[in-house]
Order: sequence, then structure tokens, then C-alpha cells
Amino acid sequence: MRGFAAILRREVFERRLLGLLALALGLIAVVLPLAPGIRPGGVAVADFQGGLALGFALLLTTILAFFLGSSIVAGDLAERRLGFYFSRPLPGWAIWGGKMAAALALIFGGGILVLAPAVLLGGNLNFDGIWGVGNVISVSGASLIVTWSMLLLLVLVAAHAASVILRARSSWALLDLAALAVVAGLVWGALRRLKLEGVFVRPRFATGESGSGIVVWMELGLLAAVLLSLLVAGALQVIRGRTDLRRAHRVLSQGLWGMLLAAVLLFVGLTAWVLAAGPGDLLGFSGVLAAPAAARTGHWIAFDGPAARRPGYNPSFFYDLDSGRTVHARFSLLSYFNFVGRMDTPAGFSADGRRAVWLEYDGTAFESPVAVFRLDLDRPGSKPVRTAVSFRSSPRGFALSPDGRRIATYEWEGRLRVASVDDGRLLAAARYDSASTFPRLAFAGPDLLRIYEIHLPDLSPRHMVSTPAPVFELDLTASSPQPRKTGELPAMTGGVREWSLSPAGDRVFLRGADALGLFDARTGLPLASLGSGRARGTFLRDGRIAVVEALAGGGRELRIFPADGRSEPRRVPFPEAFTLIVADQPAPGFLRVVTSKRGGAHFRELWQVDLERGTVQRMGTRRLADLKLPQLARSPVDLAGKDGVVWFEPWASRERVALKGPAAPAAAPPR
Amino acid sequence: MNPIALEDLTVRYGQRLALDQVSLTVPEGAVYALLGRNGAGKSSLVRCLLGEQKPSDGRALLLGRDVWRERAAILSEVGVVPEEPDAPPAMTARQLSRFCSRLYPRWDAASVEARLKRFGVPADTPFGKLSKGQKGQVLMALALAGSPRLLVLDDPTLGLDAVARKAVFEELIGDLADRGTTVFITTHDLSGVERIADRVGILREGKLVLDEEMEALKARFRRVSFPRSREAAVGRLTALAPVAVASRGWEVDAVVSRYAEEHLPVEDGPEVSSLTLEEIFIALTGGMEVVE
Repeated sequence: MRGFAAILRREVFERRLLGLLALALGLIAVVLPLAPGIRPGGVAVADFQGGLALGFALLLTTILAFFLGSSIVAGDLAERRLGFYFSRPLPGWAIWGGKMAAALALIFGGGILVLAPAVLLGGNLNFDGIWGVGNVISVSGASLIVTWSMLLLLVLVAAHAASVILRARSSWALLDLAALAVVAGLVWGALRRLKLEGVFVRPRFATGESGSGIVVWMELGLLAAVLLSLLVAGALQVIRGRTDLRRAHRVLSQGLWGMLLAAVLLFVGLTAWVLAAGPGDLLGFSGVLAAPAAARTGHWIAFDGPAARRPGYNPSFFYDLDSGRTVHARFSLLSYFNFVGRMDTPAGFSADGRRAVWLEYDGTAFESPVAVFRLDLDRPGSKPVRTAVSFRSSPRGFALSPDGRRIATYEWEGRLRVASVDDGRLLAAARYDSASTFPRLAFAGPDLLRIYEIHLPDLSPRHMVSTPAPVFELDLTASSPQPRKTGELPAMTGGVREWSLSPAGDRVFLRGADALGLFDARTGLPLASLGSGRARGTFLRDGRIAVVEALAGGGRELRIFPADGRSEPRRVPFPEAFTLIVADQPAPGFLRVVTSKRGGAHFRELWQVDLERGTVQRMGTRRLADLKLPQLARSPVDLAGKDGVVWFEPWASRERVALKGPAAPAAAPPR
Repeated sequence: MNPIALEDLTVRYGQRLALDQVSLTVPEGAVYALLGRNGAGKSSLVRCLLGEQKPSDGRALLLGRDVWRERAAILSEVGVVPEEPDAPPAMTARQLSRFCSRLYPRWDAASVEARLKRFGVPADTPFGKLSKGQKGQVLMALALAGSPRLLVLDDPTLGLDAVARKAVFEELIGDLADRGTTVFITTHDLSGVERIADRVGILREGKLVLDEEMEALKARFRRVSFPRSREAAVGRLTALAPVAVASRGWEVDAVVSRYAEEHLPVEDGPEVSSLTLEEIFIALTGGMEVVE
């Protein structure tokens, strides 16, 4: 340590005039704002003094880091003065450490001396406000100081390495360039893959969930590895390369690129691991969408969710319930930004279940164009196909025609567009100024596009205030189609909590805080009141309506209404059910539902209801997939394995359940 | 234990062999002069000797320890005067002395001051502003102030005028007499080193072609001259191991490396004279034409 301290002291002493320079800058920062005509209007003297002092400190420390980094060791080495130290009883680490410590002492000491007059004479050092730094890069106060310090250290050691490489003027510099290109290329490629897949800096970007995403830790780790590699390589260069510049360069290069390459390969490997997350790695599921019918290859669903051990990554998939085949698609990325009010999945299935169509960013997220993809589910082993339909930015509304061949979008420019998924042809376009941010689009028939100006309340508290929802239609057969208002859905108390369009496009559910109502989908005229604000409605395949209502004394009741909802329903009580979910209609006249009991969260019971006779047959118990983490308890979907998949959205506003698997032996109804 | 022991020291720069299996030892208290033409490998050898360069093969032991591995520990007992004055130019001699005093267990600051005073070197002038001779004196003072057991001087008189060169060697002789320090010196000032060296080594193209006591060396090397009319006698020089033979006017001039009176090539009147170290060096490193 004696040698380290001696070198540190010597190097600082030799550059002691820098202290005076720093102090002079500090005094200028204090005095200059007092001069007339210098200070911008509206800025307090103390703020201006503090701002100037901070600016000078940042400037001086950056310049010092660069110049000391490039000269304090490399200068001695190039001018053959390092031998003076090496011919003394000084270990190599003490030479490197002492010089680097001296450089840091000069840099930070200089910064402190610049700030000192402003601090002592009442200047206001506002780390949060300096040039909006706090707002732009989300660092302020202590974290700004730490970040800046790390950057200065990085500049110092990087300048040293660059200086040694340049001063050596050896052919090894070509290898350095090649290694730099390889390392940079690998990092760029990995970062681009992460960005393309939408691995965010926050666990849930859209919800602003606190904590840092895995990509932040990966990038910080990489930065730390770069810093460490530069530090260790510099030390190795001095310890092993000693006084010969070219040999020192060689040792530096070998150490630096060896360590960096190892770190970068680890980064690339980690990236591959992050992006390898499959459906089984998801902690929960959201945006779940089921194909309305089975394709030849199986029952397909689309979903996304946060991946376990990969905070910030929310991959999305198409999943075949029959075969377990997974197709990775990037539609979830759109829903985290500005797509469709973040309520709808930017993916859809054709009515026959044979085709899936979805939207993806064509590049890294946020400002990239958006492309339309399709997956033909009828063909075994089919792969996603990029269609010719694309958009300059994410559309505000999206709907897929029942035949899966046309896509309707509403774009930021105020344009409705209908295009062919098969060949990208523009089929119709119309100007439309939406009153809401995200109008809901739906095909109400083969050639009819309907637009609902529905606000959903979770977007903003102001939407809790109920407003009527105008309904427009666009006739796609017209030579120059124009949206035409056909009606208006009424205001709901507490705003629209849930809405659902019937498969035929003739009726619509609206659920408010106190009622579930059935309305004419075209005119918005009320057809029937189907239940309370806690009821959930489902349009059945045969046109009837299933409503699940909570019973006053506990339990649930399934109510089957006719298509117009006006007659007295058939009632099937499930008194012990804590939850009741309408699942599927396996055959005309039959309905499958799923119940759970209080405290039996892992088990669901499957029932088959005879809609004509009102009898109930118990199909068996499904044990849900083992929970990986507590969060899964809130999952809307649980994959139970190959023998069947149970989806369960008890807490979400939409409820969709699909079941598969052999029917279990009949059991007594739960009466 | 020999303060210096080189064992098969080999240094390669790519394909070029700078040192080829050099082995030598310097006993305690000896003054060893390593001579060689430019590019012979002296600098590489000194760098290896000081632990600044890792040999490609073999090893250098200083005070019985591998200097590449234990350089810092060993150098507390070694004084070094480099070929090029390499002290930080902004530091004064006094500051340099203060800096070094923190590194050496036995530091004689007073001796530095006294030496500088004796040679009229200003102690408070930045090192970079001193003349070459003054820089050499400062570095010599620093090298000696640590009371070293071993002194390594890498061409300490390079660029000095005759007076300064003489002063360096005389001062060195004086100090060495006092201390009994082992000295390893490389120099082109052969006349200067001839007076102080006990042992001489000569490097030629990376090989140590000679490593011998100074007295023995000078005793066995002689210049033998005889008239050209007796040119047939050249063939009889073999017994004296000629290293260089040249015809000059009417005379044949031969430098022999195993002088013995009974083997003189001619019986009448050969002129035999002793050689200076410089003449031996020139003869050995190719300064004279060998006539077949």
C-alpha cells in the first residue's frame, strides 16, 4: 500500500493546479449570474448559480476523465517514463491503482471544488431540475450522482484503453477493431432481439408497475462487465505488459477482448434464455382469445402474459389445445402501447377457427410501422405469414371479418380501412373522426362494418361518467362507403364495464355498475334487462343467452334466456358454487359450465347442462396446473396439461372458457 | 548466492531472436560490464534483468529470486540507472528523492543532497529542465541512496561529455569502494569501464560470445604484427586462436585470443602488444577484416 499511496500522492501533487482551475470555475459560476444581462428572465439567482456550477462540474469532470484516462498511464508508457516506476520496488497493481485512484481523486475533487462555492454561497443545486435530466432519463438526486460517477469511470478507463491502442500503432489495432465489431455486433443483435420482442425496462410497461425489468439488469450487468473488463485489462496491461508499449497493448487487447467476449456471450445466452420463454413459463395469462370453432389441427387459443423470472417480458402465443403446439407471435407488444384501449387483443380468429390474424410491430416497438400476419390453422405445421397489409403506426381499432379474409382498422389519421388479408388489396376506405380514442370495430355481417364509440372505464376515471355510445355503420358494398350513424347505445350507470357483441352482430350486452342490459346492436335500443351489475352474460351458439347471476344467499344461478331476452329464463341454481363460468356449447341444446367452491381454488368442477330439460350432469373434476408462483392464483387461465385446458377469468371483465377432454362419468346434480 | 544469475535467457520478437540462451553469473561485489554493438541484445537483457520484460525462455535471477515474479520485492535492494532518463519531468530532484524515500526501507536522503551539491546539480529544478549530464547525476544519486546490494547501470554515460563520463566512473569507483556493491553495467564507454570492471561479457547477435574476468581477458588477448614478407607465417597463427587478421601496408596485424610466447608464428622480430578492452571488443565484434 505504501507504493500505491506514494504514486497517488505524486500524481495528484503534479496536477495540483487543476484544483485552482476548478475553484476558479466554481467562483465564475457564483459571480457570473450577478452580472447584469446574463441571467435569463424568470430564473432565480440561486438557481442559475447552482445550474451553472453543475454544468461546469459536469463539463470539467468529463474533460478530466477523458484527458487523464488517455494520458496518466498511456502517456508515461508512450514516452518511456513508466520504467521509472518499474525500476523501483513498486508492484504493478500499485502503479495502475495509484494512477487510476489519482485520476479519480482529481476528477471528483475537481467536481467538488467547482460546486463548493455555489454550495457555500447559497446556490441552489437542483439535481432533479438540471436541463430536465430527471424527466428524461428518470434519474435524479443520488442516483444521478451515482450514474454520472459510473459514466466518468467508464470514460476514464475507456480513454486509457483507446489511448494505449492508438499510441502503440501496431497491427494489433486491426484485431482490436475486429474484436470491437464482433462484440458490438453481438450486443446490438441481442439488444435488437430484446427490443423486437418487447422486453421492457419495467415488469409491466403499460401499468407502470414498479421495479426493474430483466433487461435493465442485463444491461446494467453488461455495463458493469464492460467497466470491469476495462479496469482489469488496464491493470493486466500494467502488471504483465509493463514498460513496453506494444507488449502492453497486446496484453491489454487480450485481456479486454477476452473478458468482453465472455461477458457478451453470456449476455447473448441470457437473451436467448429470456426469449425462449414458452407458455409453460408464464406466470399468468391475459388477453386470452379462443378460436370460435375448432380447426382441422385442433382448438387454438391466443394469449399473452408475464414470463416467470423474466420481469418485463410478456410474450404472446397461439396455442393448440389438442396438440400442445405453440406458435410464438408478437401481438402482445401492441396491447402494451396504444392499441385498442389496451383492452382487446390485437389478434383474431375467423369464425370457422381456420385462420388467425394479428398485428405486430414491424421493428422495435412504439414508433415502428405495424404489419399484419396470418396463420392458417387448418394446415398442419403452418407458419406465420406476413401479409401485404401494413400501417405506418399502430391502428386505434381492429376487427377481423368472420371469414378471416378481411381486416378493418381505424388509424390515427382518422381513416377507416378495410383490406384483404390474402393479397393486401384495399377494399374500402373512409374518413371517420372518432369521438373516442379507441373506437370499437366489429363486422356485423359479411359486408357491414360497425363502429361503437364505447369508452371502457378502466382507461381513465373520467370514463366512469356515463356517456351514450353512438353506433355507426359502413356499408362495404357501396362505391364510396361513408360511416352512417344508425343509433346510440344508452349511458350506463358508472360507465360501461363490459360489452360484448353477439356472433351474428345483432345484439350487444352492456354491463354497468347496476345492470346487465341487452340492446339492439345497430340502433342501440334496449331489448331487455338481464341481471344485476354483478351478472355475466354469454351469447350461446344457438342464439340464446346464458347469464350467471349471484344469488343473495350465496351460490350462483345460471339463467338461460331466449335470443330476445324478454321471456322468463330457465334457471339452474348452483348453490355451492363460488364461481360459475359458462364454458362451451359442445352440441345444440347442451351447455358446459365450470364451478369452483370457496377455498378450492385449485379444483374446478365441470358440468353439462341440458338446456331443454334443465338437468345437470357432473362431468368431473379438473385439477388445475400446479401453481408456480403466488401470482398465478390471479391468473385468468390455467393450463392443466394435455388432457384438457381450463381457462378461468373470474376477476377479469371478460370471461371466456374453453374445455376439452373426455366426458367424465355422470354424477348427481348439485342440488 | 550470486546477485545476478541468468539461466538460458532467451528473448524472441516474433521470428527474430534477440537473446539466444544467454547464461551468466555475477558474483557478489563484482563489477560486470556487458558490452555489445547496437542491436546485440543488451537492452532486452537489461529489461529481463530488471523484470520489465518476461523472457521467452529461461529466467533471470536477481539476488537469488526470479525477477519476473518478484520484481517489486527484489528491487528494494537494487539501484537502477536507466539508459534514458525517465523520471517524471515535472518533479525536482528533491521531490524525486522524497518520492523514493517512501519506497525504500533504507533511504539516505542526505547522500542525494550531498551528491547533487558535489556535482552542482540544482535540487529544485524540474527534472525535465536539467541537462543530460545533470539528469544522469540525479538518477545515479537516486540509485545509490537506497543503499543497494546491486546496481544496474544501463549505459549511464550515454550522451555525456568526456568530463561527465569520467566523473560518473570515478564517482562510481569511489562509492563502490565504500560499499562493496555488485554492479552490472552496460556501456559503450569501454575505456571508462575498463578501469572499474572485474568481469566482461560481450553480446553479439543475441549470443554471449565472451564472459570472462577482465584480467584474464586482457592477458590472453594480444596484437601480433609481423612483416608482410613473412605472410606464410599467418598459417601458424592457429595455435594462438586469432580472432582477426588484417593486412596493413607492409605488415600483417593479428589479434590473437590465446597468446603464448612459445607459439609465436615467427621467431625473429614479431611485434607483440597488449590490447585495450576497446580493441578486444572491436576485434571480437567484427571491426577487423579476417584474411584467409
